[in-house]
Amino acid sequence: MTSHSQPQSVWSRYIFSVDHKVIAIQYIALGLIMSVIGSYMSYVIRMKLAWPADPVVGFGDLAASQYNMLVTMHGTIMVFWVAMPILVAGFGNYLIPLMVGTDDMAFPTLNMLSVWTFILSTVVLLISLFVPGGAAAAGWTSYPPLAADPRFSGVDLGITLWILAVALEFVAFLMGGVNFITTSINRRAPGMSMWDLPLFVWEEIMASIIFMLSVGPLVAGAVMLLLDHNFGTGFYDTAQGGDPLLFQHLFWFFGHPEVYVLLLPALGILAEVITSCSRKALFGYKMVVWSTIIAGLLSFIVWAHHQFISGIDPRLAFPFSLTTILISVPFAVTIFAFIATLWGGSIRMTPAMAAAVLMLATFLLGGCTGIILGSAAADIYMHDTMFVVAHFHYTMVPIVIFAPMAGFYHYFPKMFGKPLDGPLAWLHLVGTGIFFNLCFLAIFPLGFMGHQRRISDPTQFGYIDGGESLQILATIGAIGALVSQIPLAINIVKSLLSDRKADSNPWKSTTLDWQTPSPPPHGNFATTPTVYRGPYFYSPPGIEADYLPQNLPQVDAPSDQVQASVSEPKTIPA
Amino acid sequence: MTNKTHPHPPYIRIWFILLAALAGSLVLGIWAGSKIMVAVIFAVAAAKAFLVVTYFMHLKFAPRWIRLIAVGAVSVVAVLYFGLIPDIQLGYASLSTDQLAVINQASAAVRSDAGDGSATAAASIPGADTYQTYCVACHQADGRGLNGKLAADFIADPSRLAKSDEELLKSIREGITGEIGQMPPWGSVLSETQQLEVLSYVRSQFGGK
Amino acid sequence: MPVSHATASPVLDYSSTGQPSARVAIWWFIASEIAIFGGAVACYLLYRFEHPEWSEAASHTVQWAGATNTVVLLTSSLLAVLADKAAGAGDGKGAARYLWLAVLGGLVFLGIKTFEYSHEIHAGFTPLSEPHGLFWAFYFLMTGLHAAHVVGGMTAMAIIARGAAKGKHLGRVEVAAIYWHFVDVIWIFLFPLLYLAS
Repeated sequence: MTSHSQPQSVWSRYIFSVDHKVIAIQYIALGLIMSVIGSYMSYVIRMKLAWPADPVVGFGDLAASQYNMLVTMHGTIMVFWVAMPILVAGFGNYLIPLMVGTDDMAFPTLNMLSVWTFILSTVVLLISLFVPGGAAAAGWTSYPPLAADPRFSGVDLGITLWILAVALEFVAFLMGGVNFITTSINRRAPGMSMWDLPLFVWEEIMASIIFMLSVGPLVAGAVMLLLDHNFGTGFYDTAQGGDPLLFQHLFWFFGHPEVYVLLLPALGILAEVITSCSRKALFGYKMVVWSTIIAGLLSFIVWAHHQFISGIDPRLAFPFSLTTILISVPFAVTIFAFIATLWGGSIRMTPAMAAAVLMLATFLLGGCTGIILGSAAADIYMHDTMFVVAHFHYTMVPIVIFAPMAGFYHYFPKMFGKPLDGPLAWLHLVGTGIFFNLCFLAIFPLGFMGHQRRISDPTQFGYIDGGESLQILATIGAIGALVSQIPLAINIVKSLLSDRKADSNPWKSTTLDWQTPSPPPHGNFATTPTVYRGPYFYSPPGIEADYLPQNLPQVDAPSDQVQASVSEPKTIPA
Repeated sequence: MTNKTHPHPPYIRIWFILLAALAGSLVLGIWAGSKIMVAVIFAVAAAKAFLVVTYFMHLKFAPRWIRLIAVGAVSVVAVLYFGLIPDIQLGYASLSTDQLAVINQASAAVRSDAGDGSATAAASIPGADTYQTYCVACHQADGRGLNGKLAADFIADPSRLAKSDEELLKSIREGITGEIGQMPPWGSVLSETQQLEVLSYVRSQFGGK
Repeated sequence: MPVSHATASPVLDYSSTGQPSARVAIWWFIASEIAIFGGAVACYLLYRFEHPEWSEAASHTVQWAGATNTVVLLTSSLLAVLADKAAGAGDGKGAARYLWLAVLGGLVFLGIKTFEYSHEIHAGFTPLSEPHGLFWAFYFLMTGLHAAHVVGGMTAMAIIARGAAKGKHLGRVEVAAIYWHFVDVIWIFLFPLLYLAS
């Protein structure tokens, strides 16, 4: 079943495809390529921090201005060109139509335009690395006046291109967001109510909503920055009546909801992996959905906790501290629900499940360190120290790296029809887990000691002594974590080249995406599925089978107990 | 268009009402000196927008969850605006005119090019405001670089400025790494004239003492 | 439930909510645009209230041009909604006619805007001018952003009008009209904010 016939040429099948599965893989592939570039930058940064006086092996002499460029581009690339495409657009594009039981996104051509706008934004960003003056070096946050006056940052064209690239990226995801929300709401298979959606789809809907509403003011603010930078207007210049603090507010009004735009799909992936690999329904599914909605609302009123010491009105410190601490509650609900799902489950420790557990553990730790930063009083000391860097890596790496790893190990067989190698996966995960923790655990004490972020040699000021051994330890961790990705790369290539075939449902999952061949054909389903029950009927009581797929019409050996636990076939919503 | 079980609203009549409201606000605009009139004009605009959104955009007949989309977006903007009032809107109101003047003067001095005359007297020495803009953060206003901890101490260590002009210009242009740390390269930021001027400024201010 | 027009996919002719997907999508898109323009307007308001001297600058906007443009857009909106009504009755040619008239309205708007811009720039009112350059920066930013959306809306209406004239994709007329009304609503706010309030 399909709304458009199978494309024939290489151009329409692989390059300008309108098929959501191809587009998803395009997003993921580009995200992985950019992650190599971003990781190389992090390698150079870590080498410089560990041995500030020496040239960096594999790079050369690193001047302070180049260091600024590296931290700027590392952050920018990882957030906008790795996290967003892999988590939101990659997995979202692949899974949403499959999980709701339809043939493609609601607007396939718009989808293709989205990914090509994204590819264009990538090209613009990469070009900025090679222009005179180099790439943007004003931090991924790009505050004026540093970013507004080329004489302050030493970078002119690079910052203009950076702003344009980010703006194009925003446009790509605005287009994508329309598709994700509309498809999830309006193209559900017959019988599928909103409460029958797998949690991943709920999370993608809410991530898209949060993104689309929070990015608007920053789009306006970015245009204003572009005008200040290139034409000398005074939007952020006090001498002309402007205010640099306005940009900070506009940036973080988006920047904070953005981290939840990334977190929500990651939690969604985790939900799919954990339920399937525990053979257990998600604990408190509705509670998790409502908590996430509340968290989404709260996410719009916490932003100034990034600005406690910027010179904002001090009376804002208390309300924003309060909302920041409050927002940890709904997310705690989700995490506890995941843990409760694991509890008493029949755990299958697949690599995907291991990655999911790794994500949960590290994210929990990272989240707790956020509470320290969310309290304005403590933040006065901690702000702009390495403590912040360790905090956001302890949250972002689980979100952006570990959760997609779980998704990858879980969905690779579905996407490519071939299984991944087990031992290589374990090597990859164990190495990543150990070395990541080594790296960033060493960075927390550096923050306490007063080491500042975005400075290539924090000890140059003389009042900070020591910390050199911690920096070296962190660098060893970073290099180890990067090297640990090699088994993953080998695994992918090996599996793609092998002849082994994967089952259509190797993990025996209940959701609709597993009730189709691996990989799904053009049009996804031979006939439109009809949905008879919720998404997580694992180990249903009183029934022989270990799981009940959503589209399975009837159950063997019905009994009174069974009727109570298996829902009636749903009527098509009026 | 589909699912419309309701009759069409009277579009043309609504259009007349909109035009009348516009005329009204133009008339009020003559007295727009007072804040109350401004508020009234704004309320009229909001009413016009409401009419267009409800009837032309058919939001009146749309299900509640679609209405919620528009309401949600407007609420987000309201949160932004009211959240920013203390900091941005009232930020300047709490500063006195003198304080504002100091801020603006400092900002203008930092942004002016060497020798355009708008900076202070001291800065009209060539190279002085290049130094103020780019060098003072590390080398400090007294040229002592925080007792040599942050940058070269030109005063305590005469060997620094004893170097030749070519050597010092190279340091300015390409940066230099030493025991203290790293001096960044300024070649892509400072023109040759600026480099020569700032060197002569440094020599005249800090050399030979 | 079945939906009998062409905004749904031709084979999967259903909508889970009973609302056509295009309508759902256009409202989400408009929500994001509300955030963009709302953000710009909020920034302007924040500055405006602490810069009462900007009313002097605002008095140099061409009020009659702004008022005329408001009439033009309101009328153009009326034409768009009449196009929507015609499309709903199955009258593709009528819908196309109204849409083209609405596009014409957009063209008139842009013409008047061009006149205004050139007048203001010749008179020396630019974003970098003294004494109130920042007011003009906001003026050109907001009206410029709006004008870009006028062009976008005109393009969309033109493309959809061509299809509608042949009787194809009549469901898209509604969506183009909704977007055009939104562009009108923005102007309804910009006009008093920039031209009248002083």
